[in-house]
Amino acid sequence: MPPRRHLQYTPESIDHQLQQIHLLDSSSSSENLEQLGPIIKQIHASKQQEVYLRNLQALVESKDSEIESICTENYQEFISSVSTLFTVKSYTTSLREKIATLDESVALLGKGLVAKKRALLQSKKTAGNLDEAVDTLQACLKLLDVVDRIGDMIREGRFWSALRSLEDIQATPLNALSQTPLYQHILSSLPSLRTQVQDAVTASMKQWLLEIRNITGTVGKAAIEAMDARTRKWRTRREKDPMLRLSRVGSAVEMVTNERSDVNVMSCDTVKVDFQPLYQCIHIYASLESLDELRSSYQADRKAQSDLILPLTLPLASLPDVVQEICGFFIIESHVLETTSGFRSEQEIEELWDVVVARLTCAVRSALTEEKDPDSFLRVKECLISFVMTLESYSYSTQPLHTLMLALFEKFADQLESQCGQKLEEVVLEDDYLAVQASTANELESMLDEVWLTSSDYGALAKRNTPLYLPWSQSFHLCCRHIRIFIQRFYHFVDGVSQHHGNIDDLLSRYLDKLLSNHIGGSISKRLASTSALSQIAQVVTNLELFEKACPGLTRYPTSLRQLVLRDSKLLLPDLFSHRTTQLVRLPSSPFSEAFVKARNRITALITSKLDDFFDLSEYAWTPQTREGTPSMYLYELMNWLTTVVDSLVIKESYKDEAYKAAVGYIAESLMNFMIGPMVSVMNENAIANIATDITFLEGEITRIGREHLNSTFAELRAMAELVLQDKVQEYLNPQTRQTLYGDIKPRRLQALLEKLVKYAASRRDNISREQGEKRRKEAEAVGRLV
Amino acid sequence: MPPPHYDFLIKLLLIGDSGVGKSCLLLRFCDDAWTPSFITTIGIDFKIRTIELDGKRIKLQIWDTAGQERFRTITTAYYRGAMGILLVYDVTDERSFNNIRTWHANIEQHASDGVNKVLIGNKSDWEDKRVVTKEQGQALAQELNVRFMETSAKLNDGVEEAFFTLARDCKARLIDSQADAAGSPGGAMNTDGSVKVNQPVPQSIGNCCS
Repeated sequence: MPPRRHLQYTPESIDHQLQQIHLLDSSSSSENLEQLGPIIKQIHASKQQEVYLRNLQALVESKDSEIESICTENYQEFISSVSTLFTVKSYTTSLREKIATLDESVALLGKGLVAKKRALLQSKKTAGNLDEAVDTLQACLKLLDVVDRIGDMIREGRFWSALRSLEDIQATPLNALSQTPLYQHILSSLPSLRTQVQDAVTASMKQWLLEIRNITGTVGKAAIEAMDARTRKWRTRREKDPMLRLSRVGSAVEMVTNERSDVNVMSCDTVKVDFQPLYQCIHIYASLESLDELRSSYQADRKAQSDLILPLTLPLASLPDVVQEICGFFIIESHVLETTSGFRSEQEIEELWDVVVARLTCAVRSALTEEKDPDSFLRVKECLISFVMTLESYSYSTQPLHTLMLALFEKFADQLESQCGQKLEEVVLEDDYLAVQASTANELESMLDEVWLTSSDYGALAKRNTPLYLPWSQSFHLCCRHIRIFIQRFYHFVDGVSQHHGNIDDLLSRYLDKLLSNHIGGSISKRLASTSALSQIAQVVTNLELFEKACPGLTRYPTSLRQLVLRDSKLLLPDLFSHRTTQLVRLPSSPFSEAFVKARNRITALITSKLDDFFDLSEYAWTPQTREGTPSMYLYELMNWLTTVVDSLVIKESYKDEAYKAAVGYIAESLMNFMIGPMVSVMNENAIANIATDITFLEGEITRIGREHLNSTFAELRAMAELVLQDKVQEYLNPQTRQTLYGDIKPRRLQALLEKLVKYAASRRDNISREQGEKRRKEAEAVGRLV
Repeated sequence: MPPPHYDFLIKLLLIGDSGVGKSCLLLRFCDDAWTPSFITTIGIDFKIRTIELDGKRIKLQIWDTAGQERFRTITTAYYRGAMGILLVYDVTDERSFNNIRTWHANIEQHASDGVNKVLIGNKSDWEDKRVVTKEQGQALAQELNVRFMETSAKLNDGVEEAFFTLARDCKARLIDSQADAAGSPGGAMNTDGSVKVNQPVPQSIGNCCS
């Protein structure tokens, strides 16, 4: 340290410095030692400690001597000061102790304070945590409450609110709560909650479906009744206003007039349908975005329901109920389709409709398979027609039902025909063929209304006073009545069936032909065989004539009825309307010709059989000895009977003449049989003369009753008798004379008669007879050669 | 001519009011049939039935007359030829019973003397409706000096008896007495073997067969 070298303290500088110390203010209580530091440091640095110490020693000695001097001078004072100092010192000590104690106690106090402070801080921290926890819990509680309320809402059916609440939960802003496991848990359970909502709403919808099912029938019934009422109303209105004649129910005019009073079948007196559960369900599913699921489950449910409507076998009695059910079902479907956009598709409903209609068709067909009563068909048709009209107004396709009705119509017509045929047969077979009496004017009128007569016949009868006998027996007007009913019911069924059946009128013509020819004509023929009273057969003939005369009226009847039906119904047969002036039904020229022939033959047969009885009792003597002057008794009776009976028959003159002709022919034949037949083997001229007398009597009688034209029937008999009696056989053998005079006589017959005379002569013993016999024998041979 | 299949012919006549059942009696007796319908007889009709009496075959020609007034002239002509007459009334119809006297008077006037008669009360089955008692019928028969019987054509009750009784009476009167008078049963026999019963004939017509 070279720089330090030159700072070497000299004993002077040290002395000086010490002086400086000396110069310290002795009055100051504080030592002024600071200045001492650097000095010492300097000394140390310059390694002058020895010097310094010696100087310092010298100084101390000087100062000691100074002190000593001072003290010697002032030791008294010093002593006192020492004592004072001692006092001060004790004070100081006690003070110092006091301070220590104080310090200790302060330290003690501070320590507690710190602990407290520390506890306080801890507490403050805890309190903060608690607050936070409370807040979180409250948020959670709120959340839980919401979740709980969702449960309540579901129970109360407030599904939409529940769903909204769920959304609220999800939409909770991010905060402390969103970090909690509870929130996470709830968030994770939201789908299941949604499912709960969905399940609940589904359940409510299913319940609704169940309830709907219970009121479906009532809805359908209300709708069908409303349609019926509408039809009735329209009908009444139409009757009042001819302008409306051609408009049917469902036409524009009708729709307009009906508008005001349209019945809402979903909400009327009898039934109220609440679709709210369904709408709610749709709404919920829509917001859950699972509408498709609902759509398909709804379709499945409705399908199942529609399947349940129709029982496996359908008793006809329950058809109206079933039809009401179906009607209600599809009205509800329609309503749902209209009121929910996009939930149902028309196609889905059509699917259901097609299946139900197909099954209904099947069921009705099988229910009617064994059915024989046309009324059942009519009831089914009536039932279906209301149904069809009702559902047509809801725009359902009713084509298959129309087809069904046409099929039913065919069966119906068959049954109707067989039923009517049976009735006609009964009527014909059970009639006693006695003229019907009309005892009162009303009775007459009602009967005249039933039958078809020519206008002149009608006029003549209508003018007469009651009581009177009518020209017909009861089977005539009963048959007319049944046919009228047949035609009415035939068209009654057609009424409302929209499709035109091939040709309904041709069908009717065929049926009528069958009814008239087979059932009436045929039965009459059958009845004739068991009828033996001529008066009854005459009545049959009269009836047949009336039937024939009734045919034109009968064929016109369907035309007039159809016009009525058309006017009265729905103008569903427009193609027929154009034919309204033409005749709809045609019949074969004479459905009764066979019965006619039979009746006339029967008259002849009965008369003939009676004539046989007479001839049986004739009791002719074939070989009398004398000739009778008078005709045979039995012929009186015969002619008397014949004229009485035939003239009393209430039939046309031509039939009487026919009967006479047949009778006279038979009489001539019977007499001829006596003359030439094998029944009589022997005969003499007297017997021939008697027969000639009888023939003269008969001719007289026939002339008397004004039928001399029939006398020619006896020509051969008379000529033969005369030829023999006048003995002119030789003339007969001359061909020319034979031809001009005896053209009526057949040689074989003459021969047979001559042979009987020969036999008679052979039995006689006298010569005259023998000669006569021989002559006759030759004549017979000669005549025999002419054969 | 072959022998007739009967020994005697007896002609009977049914008379009485319209609707008393004459035709029904005849139908029952000859055809054993019955019909409920009322078929008015037109003028006159007859049926034949052969019966056996005492070993003889008797052919009955039974004339059925119309009861209606309008046929009266026609029917009256047959009275004379009748050997036996059935006077028929309806036990349920008092008028028809009361008219029997008129019918009887007609017989007296038009029929042959001594013609056999029988009074028939028909419809005896119809007890509910009966207005003429059997006693009344009997009393009238006694008064008119004729036999009396009640019949039911419907139930075939008494019908056979009625016709047989009358036929037997006729036979007794006409055939048996003739035979007795002739001293031998075959006295009235004709050459062809049948008995000709020569009853008086109407309208001055003589015997029909001999």
